[in-house]
Amino acid sequence: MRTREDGRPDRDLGEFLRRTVEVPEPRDDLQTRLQAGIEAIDREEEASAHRRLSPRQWSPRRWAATLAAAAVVTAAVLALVGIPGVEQTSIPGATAADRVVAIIDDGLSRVNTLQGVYVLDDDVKRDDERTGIRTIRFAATTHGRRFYDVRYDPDWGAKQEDWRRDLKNDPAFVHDPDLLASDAATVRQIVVSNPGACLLQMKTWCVDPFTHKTIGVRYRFFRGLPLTALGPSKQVQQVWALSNELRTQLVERQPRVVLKEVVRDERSTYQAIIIGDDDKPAYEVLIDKEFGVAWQVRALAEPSRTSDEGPGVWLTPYHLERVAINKPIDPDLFVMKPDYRYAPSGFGRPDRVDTPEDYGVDFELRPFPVADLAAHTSSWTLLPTWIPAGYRLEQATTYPGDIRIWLTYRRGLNELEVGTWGGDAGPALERSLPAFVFQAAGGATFLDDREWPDVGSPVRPLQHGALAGWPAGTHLVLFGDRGRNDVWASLGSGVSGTLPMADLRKMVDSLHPVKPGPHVPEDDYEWQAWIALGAAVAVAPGVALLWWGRRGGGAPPPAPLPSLRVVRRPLVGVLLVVVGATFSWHRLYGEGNDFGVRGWHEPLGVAVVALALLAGAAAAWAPLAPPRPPIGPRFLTTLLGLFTLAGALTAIVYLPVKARFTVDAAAQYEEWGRLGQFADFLRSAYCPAPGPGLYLSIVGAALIVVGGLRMRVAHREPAENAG
Amino acid sequence: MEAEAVGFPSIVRHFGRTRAKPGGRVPGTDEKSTGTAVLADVAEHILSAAIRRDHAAFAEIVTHYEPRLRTLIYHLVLDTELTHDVLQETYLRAYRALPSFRREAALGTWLHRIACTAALEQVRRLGRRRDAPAPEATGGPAHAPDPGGDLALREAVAAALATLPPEQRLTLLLIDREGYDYRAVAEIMRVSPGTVCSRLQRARTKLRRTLGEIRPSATTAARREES
Repeated sequence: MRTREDGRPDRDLGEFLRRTVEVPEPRDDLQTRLQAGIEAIDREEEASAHRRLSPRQWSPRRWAATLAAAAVVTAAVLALVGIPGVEQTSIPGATAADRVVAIIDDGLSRVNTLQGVYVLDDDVKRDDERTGIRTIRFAATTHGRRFYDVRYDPDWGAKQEDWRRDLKNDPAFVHDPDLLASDAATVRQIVVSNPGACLLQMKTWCVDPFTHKTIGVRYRFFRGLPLTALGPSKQVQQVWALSNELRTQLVERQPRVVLKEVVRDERSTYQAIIIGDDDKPAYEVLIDKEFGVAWQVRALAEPSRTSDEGPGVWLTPYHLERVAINKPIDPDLFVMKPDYRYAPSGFGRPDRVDTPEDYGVDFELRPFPVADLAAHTSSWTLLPTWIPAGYRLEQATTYPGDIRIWLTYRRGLNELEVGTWGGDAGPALERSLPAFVFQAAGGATFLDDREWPDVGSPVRPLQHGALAGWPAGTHLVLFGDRGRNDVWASLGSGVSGTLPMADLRKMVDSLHPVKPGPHVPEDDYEWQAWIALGAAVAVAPGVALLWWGRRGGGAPPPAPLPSLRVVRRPLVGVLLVVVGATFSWHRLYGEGNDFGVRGWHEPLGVAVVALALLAGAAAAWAPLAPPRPPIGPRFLTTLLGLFTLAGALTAIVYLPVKARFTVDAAAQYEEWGRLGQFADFLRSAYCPAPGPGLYLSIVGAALIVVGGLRMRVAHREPAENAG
Repeated sequence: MEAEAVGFPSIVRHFGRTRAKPGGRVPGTDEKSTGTAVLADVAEHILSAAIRRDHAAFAEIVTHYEPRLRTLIYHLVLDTELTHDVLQETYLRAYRALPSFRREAALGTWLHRIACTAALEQVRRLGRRRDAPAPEATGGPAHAPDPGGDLALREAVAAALATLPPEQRLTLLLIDREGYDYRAVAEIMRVSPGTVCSRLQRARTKLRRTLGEIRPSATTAARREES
């Protein structure tokens, strides 16, 4: 209350001040002066509203500088992220080796399961020929039990013979021609040594999966000396010449021990291959500090060999991707199961002939372009309406004189083959042709006892699709070093590939007739070339007009675009959408390994072309543009954002696994002949799945919408009551 | 007698009592100048029209607030010409900012704030050049003839007011001379009511002390008038 009392006016003092303090009289010309000032403000604001869309704001140089700055910042961030931080250096060699062993032992003691993909960066070779990159999907459990599923670079297969000759000359390898013929022995691989060694040295015992009898021992992919077998320091120094450099650095945000090693094997049996100081192969090994997993082996110096036929010890440079530690291993991830039994010789032949020649099939596949698929089918063909995420139809082949077509779907080095009919012929084969094909070519087939109580025919019928009701058999086929599952229906259609059996069976269940021909995707991209050409044609006069407008001394043309400040949010949103779409594209087509832009048909290429077209059209339109466009940038931007957002959200709903298209068997028959829809074929050719890129696109689209709504591209109306 | 009644001696005595009595008119306001009534706004439709850049509506606003704003500005700058300049600047600033006027405060309060800010900017800009200026020396309001003989007294009061810091001077004159409520002053000056009261008390005390120091000349002038 004191405040109220103190703040109360003093009337006497007020009266006194009113009498003694005078206030100047108002100025007569106040309104006149104000009117002049107000009109000046009006003119200034009107000019400002025009300036927001004026050519002075739309500066190509400014945009280019901004984009360049963004690129530099992005490159700097990427460089900073990629540069590992060094924490520790220079530890004496012997101590370093002990520490490495301790780290591996301690780390691996916490590892129960390990899954991931090896990417072999090089291979043991002759004549310095690179054999290409291979990937090996692997899973390892405790007690040294490991499973591998190998993917070869297609170009590598031709060199297998050379590799086998190497093995024959390796004294540590128990050579067995049967093993190289790839029978059941290659299925189960047990690492003898400490688990910590396996990633550097894959010394495997080959065990018959049924008798559990050891057939032989192999050094398969990584041959060298296991780190954990180094033993005490003295022995370490005999075997490894450490470079006295042991560091801990961050790799992919994880602390890894970096051990630079120079392999110098002093043991007599290996002296023939590892030679003098100048030729010492040197490797840098990155070991996960927490789990002891050797993440990367990088060759610092190429090993040289004194003899093509001599034995040797070396490490194969590799790195790991998509590693998961201590996560449950999908029991269906790899092929061999206890219920499998060896299929008898000749299994799969329709008429129990003994040789392929007797069967009358020329096993020389005849590939043809996917675009010519229609020419190989008369009216319809069976195609899967469900395929696993990321696979794309890449090849079609057929046998001469055969009615079947083999469609090859690939995702990276993973491969699926779908055998289907190419014409109107009815059921032709009764047993598993692919299994027989592989078996006849030297492979081995294994059958699931539960499905094959009698080798004669499987007992499990298909539940869905065009082949519903027909029995279908599942097999495991080992062909060469590859194991692949095989689901084949009695009608002679089926799927074979390196996926879990459940996925293959799902694909077979989704088979239904589709008319090919007009729905076949094109292999070439002529229309993209036309778009690029059109963009160039559109851009050229536009740029010329802009240049002329800015250099000609006359008034610059009206600006087609608002200033960067106005469109900064939508611009970032568009950028996110493009990045997200590009990531999705590569994730689905390249399984995340290949991020190289392959052509203008990719989202990034399409975005660049679209940007070029937009810029060209805007520049060409600029001289003709009215001062105030009937449809403003704000409206267009918001519309674009809403459209993109709706598309992305639709994709989220449409793409999840549970929402993928399947054909009901009953409805399938009723709709016979009317199912050849474009969308169906697309699903057969390519089935995407939502991923981080899609979510990134959604964020970008939302940003476009928000940015569009908040754009302040003002066109002020003139003052209503001026004067 | 009148000089005695309103002259310096009575003022000194007055400061000892300081209890208000009804009376005194605030320029541009009604007689009941309490609370925010002193900041009574123009009609809503006039404000809306002015926001839409209606010049006529804005002219009405100018007319409506001109006396109060002129007084406020003069109390801060103590210069006639400067008062007119600042007043014009105030209205131009208001016109420019009207489209962004969010009606979170009354229009009168908002205009007073603009005027206060503009005037204080001028005071600070010219502060060094004008060191405690007397209104007369810097172009105070034109005086009428001095029939009452209180010119010396006016000069003395003006000099005393000039010695006050601008914020205290404005607080004193707005509340005591113009009859503004202290809460309205707090809103205009964007300070707490307690700060307003504190400034008011300090201003009154300083004014009393300053007027006491110049008492001889003031009393001489008063006696001359009496004789």
